[in-house]
Amino acid sequence: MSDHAAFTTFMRSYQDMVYTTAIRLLGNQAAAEDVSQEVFLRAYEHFDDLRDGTGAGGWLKTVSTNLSLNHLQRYRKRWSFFSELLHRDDSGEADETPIDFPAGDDFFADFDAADRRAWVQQALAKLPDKQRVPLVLYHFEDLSYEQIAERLGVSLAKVKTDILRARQALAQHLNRAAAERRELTT
Amino acid sequence: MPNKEQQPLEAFVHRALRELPPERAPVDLEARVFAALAARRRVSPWQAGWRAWPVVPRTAVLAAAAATVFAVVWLSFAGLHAFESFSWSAWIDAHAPGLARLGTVAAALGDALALCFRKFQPWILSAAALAALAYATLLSVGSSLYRRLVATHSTT
Repeated sequence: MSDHAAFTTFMRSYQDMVYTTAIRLLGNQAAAEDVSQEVFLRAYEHFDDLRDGTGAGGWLKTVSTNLSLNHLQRYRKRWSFFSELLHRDDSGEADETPIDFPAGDDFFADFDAADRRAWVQQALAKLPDKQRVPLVLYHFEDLSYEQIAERLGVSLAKVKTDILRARQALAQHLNRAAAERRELTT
Repeated sequence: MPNKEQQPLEAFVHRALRELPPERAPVDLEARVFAALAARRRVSPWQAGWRAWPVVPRTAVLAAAAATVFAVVWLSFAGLHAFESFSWSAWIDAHAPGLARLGTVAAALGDALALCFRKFQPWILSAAALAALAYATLLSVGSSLYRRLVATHSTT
């Protein structure tokens, strides 16, 4: 198999994973496409090491994550993390108001899977960068709070607060969407 | 909020997020990557930056840079000493008798320059260091302002 054909096969195997990682972190289609392209350009430079497939997925995931975070930093979106160090948001105290969220397995069972996914995607897209990025790193990339704080260069308390608020916002969005759907159907 | 109270929310969000299927990469991503690779191949190594240069020219440039640094250091010390100790008038008398008069003037000028350079050497070096520092400062301030004011606005 020629290099071109082998790299095409390689790309087709991993492009969805790379793009998914980028768009979940960046929340922007154009930026995610740019990052995905850069990831595969770098992969091409290391293709001799990656072509056997061992560790390629992990390598691509790491590079996608790093480039996405670099992209956010480059365009100063991530700087909001630093600017907020001076604000009360960094106190580590999350909003203590109990959040009403749809608990239990029954909630999702009432709705079509496509609808549920669309709501979650909408809710994720609505989150500000400072909440979406740590949330994605925690729930999709399986990083610990400490690792996220280190990667983003912010305090552990801020990471916990932002993730908690992101979860609350997500749950509230799902609640609203479900309530609206119920009203429409009744 | 205590950790125990957060656990159901965390579990709920985790489940909701993990249920999301992978996003489909754009259909033109493959074409974009190959177009970018072709564009890179068209760019000569010299335009791609020093790190992308082949090993031989890269080593040669490193060696040339080292030689230049060595030459500058040597000229600063040994060269200056030789310049001062050299008898310019005798050299001109021997090699260009017709220019003896001019040589005398040139030698006097050379001696004066050497004297000046020796006398003001710390000042000259300080001025050069100051100019380099000012240049670096201006460059960093300019690029920071550009990123902050121009690049940021163009992306928003």
